[in-house]
Amino acid sequence: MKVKIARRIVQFTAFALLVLPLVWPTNSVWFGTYLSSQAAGIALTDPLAAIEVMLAGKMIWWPLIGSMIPLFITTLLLGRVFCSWICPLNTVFELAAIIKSPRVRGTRNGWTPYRMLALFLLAALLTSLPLFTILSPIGILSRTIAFGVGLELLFVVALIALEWLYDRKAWCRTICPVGALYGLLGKWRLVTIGIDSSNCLNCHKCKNACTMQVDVGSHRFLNQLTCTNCGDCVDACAAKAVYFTWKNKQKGGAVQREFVDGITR
Amino acid sequence: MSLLLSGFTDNKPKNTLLRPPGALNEPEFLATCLRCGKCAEVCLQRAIKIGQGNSGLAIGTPYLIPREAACDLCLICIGVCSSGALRPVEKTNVRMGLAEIDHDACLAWLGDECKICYTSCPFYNQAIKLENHKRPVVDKNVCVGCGICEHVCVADPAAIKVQAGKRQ
Repeated sequence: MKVKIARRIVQFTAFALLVLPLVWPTNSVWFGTYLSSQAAGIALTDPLAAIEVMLAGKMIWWPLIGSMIPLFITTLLLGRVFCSWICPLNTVFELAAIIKSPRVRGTRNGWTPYRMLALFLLAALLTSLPLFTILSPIGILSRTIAFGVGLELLFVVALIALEWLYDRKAWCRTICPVGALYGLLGKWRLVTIGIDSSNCLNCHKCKNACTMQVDVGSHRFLNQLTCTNCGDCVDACAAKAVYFTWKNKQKGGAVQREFVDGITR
Repeated sequence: MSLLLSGFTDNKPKNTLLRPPGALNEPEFLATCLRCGKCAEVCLQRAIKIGQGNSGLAIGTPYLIPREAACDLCLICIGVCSSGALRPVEKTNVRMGLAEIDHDACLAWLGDECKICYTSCPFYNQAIKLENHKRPVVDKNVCVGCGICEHVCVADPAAIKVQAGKRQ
């Protein structure tokens, strides 16, 4: 089965969960939004929102730290899977891309999301307000689905327009501090994308399929942080040379890693 | 600063959003609330609403309009709050706001026969007492500000209203 089909199923399920409390208010399966939710009795909070709130409130709140842990561990093991498999904003971006192909500028991934992350954390501390959580388009979109449309939805609409007018996944690649934090946490993830260099035809289909503009197989630090383990590159490879793998178990082995590094630098 | 900016909430005067039970004081609440909306989703009375774009910094935060739906003090919202913006509290120690009676609009104070707020109050004969067996009076030390009295008041607009922020 193609990875994309599995991913679409997960994405739409995640999207549909937002509506679940409306149609079934007293369910014990899931309620909340993608800032914080409760799945089968376990509280799940977005790590950035939780850290920001504790900085803004100048307090340590143990239940909040506890509710971060499941997503923390998931990211440590699987990387930025929230971005590609769950995030409703990403789902909307990808749906928008089906309607009309986004513009692709082909710029390399930069450091801005990580600077944004540092900036927002500092701002939370200084202003005593969780500024990113207030602005978060992920929160806005989640709450729009759960509680109805407000003025703030225009922000999300603007970001979708940006997809078509400026660059594909412009928000995710150049601003989103949530993704940046997940990226940093997922740097040492166990599940990664591997390339079998003996089968690779150098056709670059995997690179072109990547919506996050990652140079597949490259071990450049920023590419490692930006990869969301979405599996689009795995699907794109006709030679089946790109695959999900456990870390350090690539078929090409360490030799291939040195080789790629040698080429790209 | 947060207090100032929280002002432009639906053109109401500063600091007047009625928060769910157990809420921290307004500046701390704005700092701590995750804006996730879990409290609103579990509210059995559907009394908790979520602020939208026109609420300024209160966007995504929970508030109540007792005239539309009042808190029945089930306190389930506190149990689902991960952020600590709503803190565990005894029912009698909840202080969402304080009910105030407009003597010029209250039917009982105008001389008619009405005890609807008195009989509906969850702290019966404690938070709202009757003066001369006729006119309702709020006991500041007992009233939790749940808003049930405001919800049931037959006068239109309500002659008894919960004032948020009177407690901080």
